[in-house]
Amino acid sequence: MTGLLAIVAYYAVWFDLIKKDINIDFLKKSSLYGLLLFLLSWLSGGYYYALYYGNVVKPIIKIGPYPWAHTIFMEFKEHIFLFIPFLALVVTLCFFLLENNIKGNKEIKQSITYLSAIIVFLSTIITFSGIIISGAVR
Amino acid sequence: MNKNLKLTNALISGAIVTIIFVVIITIFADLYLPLKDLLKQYFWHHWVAKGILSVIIFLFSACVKYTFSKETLEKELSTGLNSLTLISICSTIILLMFFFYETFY
Repeated sequence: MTGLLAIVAYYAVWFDLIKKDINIDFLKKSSLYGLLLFLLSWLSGGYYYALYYGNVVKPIIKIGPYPWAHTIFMEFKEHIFLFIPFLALVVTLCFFLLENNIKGNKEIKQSITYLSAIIVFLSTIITFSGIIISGAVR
Repeated sequence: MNKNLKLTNALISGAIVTIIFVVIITIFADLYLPLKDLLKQYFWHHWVAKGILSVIIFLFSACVKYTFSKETLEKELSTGLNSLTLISICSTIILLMFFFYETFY
């Protein structure tokens, strides 16, 4: 749930950056909420994965008809998930440290737009991987 | 000198190094199981180990970059952000291909 809310926050950041006139206060708040939610997701998801998934869920998937749900999608998801908070941290700090540069430099604004889009894209892939993994357990 | 530009550039470099580290340690630990066991031994779980090491590497590389880099220009910052985006995409593709390969071959 926290991961989904973080995606919403970065989706909002991405779409505000596409606009001609950006709202820097909104971008600061939305990116910061997104970052905090990603970190919360890191902790809660990590706790679930390390304590519960490996012992209970993984054995069920591995003996079931879709073992690739773990060997491809879970492995992929858990490692992509490791670098998303660092991307979110960079985007958030850009808004706090480079307010004037973002407003005055189109190239920097465009680069942050791309990075925000990648955060949304990767997080969405992680969410869909989660759906595949859940489906494989049933 | 604009310290904010320099700090942001250092954080971007830290993130780039961290992502490359995650890809390398993930592939290497899967191919060489004693490394995975070593990570488990010291940090309880290999994923927790990778998470903790990622934070340490991010902070370390950002500090090194901040300490040793000279003035940062806006152009460099834009290039750094684009590099970070590109490396994220490439890392995602490499990891996905690796897990596909490991599963089916």
